[in-house]
Amino acid sequence: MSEVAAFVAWLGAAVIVLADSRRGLAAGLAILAAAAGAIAWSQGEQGGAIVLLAGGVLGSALRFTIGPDGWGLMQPGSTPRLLFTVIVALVALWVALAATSGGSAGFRFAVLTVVVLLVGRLLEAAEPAVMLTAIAGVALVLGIVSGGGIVSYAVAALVTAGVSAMPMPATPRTRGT
Amino acid sequence: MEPELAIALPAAGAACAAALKPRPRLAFAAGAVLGAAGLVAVISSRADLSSDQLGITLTLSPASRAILIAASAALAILVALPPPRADRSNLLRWGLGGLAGMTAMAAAPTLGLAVMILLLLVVLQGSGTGRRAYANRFRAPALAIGLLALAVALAAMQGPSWLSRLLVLCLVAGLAAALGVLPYIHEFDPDELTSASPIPWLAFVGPVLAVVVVGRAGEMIEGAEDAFGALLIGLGITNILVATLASWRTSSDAEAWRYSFIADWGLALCGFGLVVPDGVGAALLVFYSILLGRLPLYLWSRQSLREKAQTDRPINFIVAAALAGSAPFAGFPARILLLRAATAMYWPLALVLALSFLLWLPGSLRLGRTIGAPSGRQLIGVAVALAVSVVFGLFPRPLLGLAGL
Repeated sequence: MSEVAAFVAWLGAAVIVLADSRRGLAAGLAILAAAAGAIAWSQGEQGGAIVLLAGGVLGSALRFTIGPDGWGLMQPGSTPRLLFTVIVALVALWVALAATSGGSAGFRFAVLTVVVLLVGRLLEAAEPAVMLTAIAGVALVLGIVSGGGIVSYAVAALVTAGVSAMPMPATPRTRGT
Repeated sequence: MEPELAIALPAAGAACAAALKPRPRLAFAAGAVLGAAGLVAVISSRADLSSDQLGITLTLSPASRAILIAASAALAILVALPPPRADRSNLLRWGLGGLAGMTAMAAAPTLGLAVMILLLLVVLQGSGTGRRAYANRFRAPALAIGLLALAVALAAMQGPSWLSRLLVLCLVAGLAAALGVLPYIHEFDPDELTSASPIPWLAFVGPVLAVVVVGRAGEMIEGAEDAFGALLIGLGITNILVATLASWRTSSDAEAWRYSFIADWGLALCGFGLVVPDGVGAALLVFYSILLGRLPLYLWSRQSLREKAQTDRPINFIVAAALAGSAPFAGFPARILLLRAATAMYWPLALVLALSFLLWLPGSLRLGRTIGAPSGRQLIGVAVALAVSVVFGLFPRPLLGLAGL
């Protein structure tokens, strides 16, 4: 189960990397939340899985309503991002399968690939909705790896929903006005 | 119950101050009462004693508790003696929000939880109205979250030695990115509100974050402690050299202030890297001097920075001496402890540090002039900051004892 969940986690993060508008970002966050919940479930944290899924789905629903209109998936100029998702997946797969141990390989692949993809997205993006969705995804992963029991999952769920509920920031004032 | 109250009361104060924004006096009163109660909760909480009232084990380490008390005192001084044109209730709202987050980070049982709270602080600060574009304000602290999250993820795995070195790299790089020191200096706009600028990361939230990250790192980097220390020392010396020179040579006075914070951080990073108690003590004394000296002085200098007023009165030279870390101010025992720790570890490092201390002089003389000719509340504030610095400089032992050293 964790191997399938790991692939779904990569898919969710890849959708966030490839999306520029609210619907695509919401879809990516929802997929990632489902995968994070499944990974938590496979680790025997059923309560945490439900909490994490609820937080992720709520965050996704909020993102669906806040941000630039449309899906914005794979718009012109997104080829480097597509390549980025594939290369990160291959490197994370090698690290998870051949270089590391501890936990399941699926868990290791999922956390590595999602964190690296979303940090890459944060560095590249300029749109607040994209940056907030990426950071919400990082919070979901932190919920799985923090190791604080149900509290970690609950805090991650709250942070994901809270970050997604943030209104878009005001445009900065120009100098001299 | 104290750690829970120490988090909840300032958070409630910040929420009240935000909710009552249309009625500034009421907002200020509610925030002040709840903030003061939060400070009492921090002071009365016993260090290293766990509390599990809400199903989560919260513990304040002695060092975190000491820095939280210093941060609360800094906020109290700034609210009591606000800089010209500053809105007290706004200052209190942002300060209490930061304090609640800092206390939560300090009390969190794992680094992962602390990073999630840091994430919330980053998003909340980004939601404020700043002069820089949102992406520019958000990107560097968000990168810090990503790097620290990667470190937490790597800590959950076992593997070859390069994996633990990568973990160390992520921890140190994440800390540097969160603080805004080299090589991740945040973009800075001198005219921006301080609450939305990179200064809170350097001078308010940063000290607690550093104590938390360095404290938790010990559990995560088994076998790579030397690499962690070496990286912190290397980063510290780089920051000292570059920032002291930049503080002296940069064209903007506000930028010079920002670089002076970074130079102080270089000292603190070296102190943490040296690992021995004297080094850690030096880092904590640097934090005290940043929170209760450099930060208030910077805020009180902002009006004269705007007016480009520079004076050469005795008060300017006294401020310059305090900023340069000369005796009898708080920076002096910090430097002495750092030299002692460096001598015990590797004496050529002490030589490099001793020479680098001289680089503080020209930049500090410049910064001292930017205070202008303080009068009224500003003069009282500068006098209080200098007096506190002298007390800390003459009697550092109680401060170190408060931090469990």
